[in-house]
Amino acid sequence: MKKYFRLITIGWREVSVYRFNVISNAFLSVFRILLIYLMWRVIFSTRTEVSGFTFSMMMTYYIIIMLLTKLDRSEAMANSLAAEIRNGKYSKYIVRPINPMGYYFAKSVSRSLYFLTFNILAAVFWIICFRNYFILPSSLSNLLSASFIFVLGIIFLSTFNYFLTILTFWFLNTSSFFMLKGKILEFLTGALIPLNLLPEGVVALFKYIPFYYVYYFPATVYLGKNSESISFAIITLVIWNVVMFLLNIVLYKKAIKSYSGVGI
Amino acid sequence: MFKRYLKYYWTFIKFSAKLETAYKLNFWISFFTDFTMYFIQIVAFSAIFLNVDTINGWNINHMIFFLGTFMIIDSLCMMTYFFGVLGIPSDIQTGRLDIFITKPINTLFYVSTRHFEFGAIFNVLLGISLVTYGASNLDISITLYKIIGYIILVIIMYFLLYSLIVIVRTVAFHVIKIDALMELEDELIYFAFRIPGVVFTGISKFIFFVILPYGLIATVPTTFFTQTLEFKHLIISLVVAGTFYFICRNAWKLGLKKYSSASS
Repeated sequence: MKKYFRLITIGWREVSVYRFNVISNAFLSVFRILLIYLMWRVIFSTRTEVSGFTFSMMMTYYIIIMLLTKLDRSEAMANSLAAEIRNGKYSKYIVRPINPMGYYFAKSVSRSLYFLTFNILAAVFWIICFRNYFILPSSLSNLLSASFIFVLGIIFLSTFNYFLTILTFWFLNTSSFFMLKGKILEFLTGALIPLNLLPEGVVALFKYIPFYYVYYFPATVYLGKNSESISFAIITLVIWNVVMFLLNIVLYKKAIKSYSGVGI
Repeated sequence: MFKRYLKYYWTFIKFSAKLETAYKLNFWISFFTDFTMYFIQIVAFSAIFLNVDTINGWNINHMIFFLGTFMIIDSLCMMTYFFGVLGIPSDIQTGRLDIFITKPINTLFYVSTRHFEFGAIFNVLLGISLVTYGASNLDISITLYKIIGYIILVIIMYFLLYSLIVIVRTVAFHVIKIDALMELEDELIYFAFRIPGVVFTGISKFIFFVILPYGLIATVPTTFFTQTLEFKHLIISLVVAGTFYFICRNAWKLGLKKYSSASS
């Protein structure tokens, strides 16, 4: 376990070299948040509620989503591992006394923690800008539950990205898989629009897939909605995490046999 | 001269077709990735319209027409110049631009048209289908004047998008890294281009129609066809498109003067 903590500190130092990129990434959401504000302001100009959300709830939802989506850094790590599989550099992980999946998670955690520091600053900035519309958490327990579910959700996203990385052993070029995944997940996780805008039947179906609980669910729990489904969310995410984790172990064992280290 | 350039362009298309046959999967990946993005966009706006009747006077059919227009312009951009222009910063940084400068052909034309993306053709057709569907369900008269005017405006907006994309990349002639600027452009293209222009009022209208005119691109042809475009807005749009094309040409010329090959 000690070596993985060491990896987290090394990863933190590595990513701190590019701090300007991290800071610009955190604050470049200026146009996104501004355009979201403009669009929803027009929609709410003729009504006070849309699918149970007031304008303040909508703005709070998007500010929270903005913060949460920036914290999953596992895709960048998964992409870099995929590139190493393609060019043969992955061989170094085979000869090192370290579990490749553990290495991947430790590096992803260090990146997420580093991004968290600057993105919290950005979120505070947006909260100050939209202070008239920002809603504080309905209760401390809701805030803690939302945070815990988000951590489980982000672990699921990491295992899912690792699954796509493993596919590189067979398909070599998986960049398009990642691109496609990004677009689909933006919708399924509620990052594009709150999922409660969809028909009830669709939402009921989404409750059985883990993506529903990654961003949308924690954001709504923060807003004081869905509190009754917290335990169901935790159970669902734990099951999906265990399934993905086991699937990754089985697949990796098969995949590594087909790795020839071309490019060394 | 026009005939000569048409001949060059035909050669680039034939060359891209040969490349495409070598990487057949690319065709389907490109088509499917873009199609997914457009599909999600349509689903997202449909979900909003399940909860609201209109957005500043626009109903679901206006929105379908708008999304179809966006799809046509975006796919034409992807098909003809996007991937060529995308490579400009790396051509400058690596000195590869030398190859293009030494050819007896306009350099900007060469770098812009060198890659033809066949996968985008189907998305143009899908965009046309959406526009046709939206127009047939709108309570407006469809005349030849409107159709021709719409096509002309789509072409003008296609060139406006071209100018905007090239201008950002000419900054690479003056500074080594333009990553932050490209991220900002991503945000603008992702949101300002896709959000209906009817949500802009006051200062935001000035910003997204004149200073950063991404908001004009799909909105102007749509409002012209649906009879909601004011004459003064048409004139402003044409002046903005002309001005940005002028800036684009001069920024490119200025950049070429500043260019000192990285490899020599």
